[in-house]
Amino acid sequence: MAKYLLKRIGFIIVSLFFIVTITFLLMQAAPGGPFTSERQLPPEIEQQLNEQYGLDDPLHVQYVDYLTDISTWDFGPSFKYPAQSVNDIINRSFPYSLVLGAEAIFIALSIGVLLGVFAALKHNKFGDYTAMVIAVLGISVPNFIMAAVLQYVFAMQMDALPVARFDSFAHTILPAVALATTPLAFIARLMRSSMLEVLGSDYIKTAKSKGLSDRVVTYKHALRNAIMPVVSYLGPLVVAILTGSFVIEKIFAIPGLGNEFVQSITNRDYTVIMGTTVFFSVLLLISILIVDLIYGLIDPRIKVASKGGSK
Amino acid sequence: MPQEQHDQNVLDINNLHTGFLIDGELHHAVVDVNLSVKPKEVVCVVGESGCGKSVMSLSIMNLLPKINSKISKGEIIFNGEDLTQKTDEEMNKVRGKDISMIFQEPMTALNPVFTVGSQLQEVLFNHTDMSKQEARERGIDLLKQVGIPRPEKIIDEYPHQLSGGMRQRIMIAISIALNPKLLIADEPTTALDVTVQAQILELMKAIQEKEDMAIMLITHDLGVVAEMADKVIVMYAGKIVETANVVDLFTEPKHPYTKSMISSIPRMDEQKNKLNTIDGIVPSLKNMPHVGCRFADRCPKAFDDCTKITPQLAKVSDDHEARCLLYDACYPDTSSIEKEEVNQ
Repeated sequence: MAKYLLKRIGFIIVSLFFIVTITFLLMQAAPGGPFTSERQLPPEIEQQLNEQYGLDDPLHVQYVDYLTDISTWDFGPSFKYPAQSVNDIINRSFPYSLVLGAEAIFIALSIGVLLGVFAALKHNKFGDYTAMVIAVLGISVPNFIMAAVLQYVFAMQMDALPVARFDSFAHTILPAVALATTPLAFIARLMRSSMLEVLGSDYIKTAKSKGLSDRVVTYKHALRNAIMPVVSYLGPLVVAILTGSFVIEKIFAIPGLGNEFVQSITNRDYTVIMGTTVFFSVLLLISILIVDLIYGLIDPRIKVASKGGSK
Repeated sequence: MPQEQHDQNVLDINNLHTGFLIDGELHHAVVDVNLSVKPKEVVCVVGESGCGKSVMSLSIMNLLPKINSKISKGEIIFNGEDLTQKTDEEMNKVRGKDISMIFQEPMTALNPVFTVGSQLQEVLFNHTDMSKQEARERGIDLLKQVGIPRPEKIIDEYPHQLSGGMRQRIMIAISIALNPKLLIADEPTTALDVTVQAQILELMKAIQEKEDMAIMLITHDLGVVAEMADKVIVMYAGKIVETANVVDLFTEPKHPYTKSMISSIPRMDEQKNKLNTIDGIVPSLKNMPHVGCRFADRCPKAFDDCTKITPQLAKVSDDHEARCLLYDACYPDTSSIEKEEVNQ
């Protein structure tokens, strides 16, 4: 197990190296620079700024500098906001994104799985059709429209929840629901089809022939098998929710990391772009690793490590 | 049959009709099945694919999908109670305890995500108040009984770590865990290779003798029948066409279908370039003839009456029943039976 983990972490580091290199080169290839603005700076000042940030060094020197900094988890200073480092920005804004993302994932997973199981159990009946209509709506309505609708109904009309910002738990509900809609619908459909397949399988017949109640058959024997496709969808889901949240963050005026990410691109704030990219990559790689570990826990056929001796 | 003897039977199926809803219409896959299983008896139900043998066994367990199938007539008396009248909760007390079942595909019959032990102990926990420790000991004991080597180790392994034969042994262990009165085995050896088949059959026979249970063995393999059966029931297209004890069936088969089946077994003492086969296939549920013998269009001995008169199952010699118009007893006594058949 330890060996497997070390190996996976090694792969993560190699992947990160490539991601950093490619982002660095792409940033260099893009025309313009952080201090290019309409109001021309005096050349001396621009010269001084470039010197201060090491931008006049040859490319390979800048690259090596950056690699060394990043390996100590130091993303450097922001070009746009000189008083802040990239680490400050991430540390400040990520907690918002994390809370929002975690809530959204929780909603999508719990309700999506329930809806899918429900639809499968009511296969070809009214309940099934209702659940699937909800799912298709959820998939086809983009989350920014969902956000606007939610704001209109729950905040403007019913005055039940705050319309924007991110101060208390009540503030988190609307953005989390808006963010969760599409993955929820996707999970529901995934869960329904895999549950239907599992319910028709031989071991379900065996379980029934043992005299187990429908509840035990469904929730113990069927669910654990049927949830596998959903688990493998979790990795990409985590990333999609964390990075895709910038639209929602914008709509609900949440100072999250997605927001900073988009801002940094328009600002041409190299270090912030690269910092957030690397940060998101680390998140993605770690969540994929965790998903793989969970996979092995749920399904013994998937060997996570060469454990269990000679067999 | 005298009432007293009737009571002793483990299972009595009377006039069972089971059908499937196809396009809103009920088509019967099992028609007018009458059979009884005595204690400690091995009854083999034989017939080719699609003849209704599995549907019949699932009817007994009440495990057919409720959405598109239905027992429309008849009763299944087990332990003096009609199983067709029981609710699902009541059936859950019978399934796995008094009647248990082994399926055809050992590779997929066990849940891949639970250990052998947990699937084995589950049936114990479900029907008894055993403690974990007792259930584990009983589990190891059962695995020993079905000839699993190193049971203390295997009990903690997952199905995918075991071979098909081992898995079928585990299915047997699960099915005999609570000493059921009746074990229904639906083609338990079909998916196994020949040497393993023989081992599994031997094992079932040994357990049956030791535990005094009755077995209803569903198969299409006459070799299995010869090895295991006391009584044989031959089914064709949802109906029983012949019932006999195993010796009579092989020495004096009465129904042309049984005869053709027996003659299609390759024999060691014959040199042949081509095996005997029965031409054609079992008619599908939707195309089942309403009148006449269902085997008529494949029957080498068919004559005019076969497509016009529906034969009934009747005694053709001692302890030997057949459903064929070659025997006068099988002509229906009155025309009313015929009409009933048409009305279906």
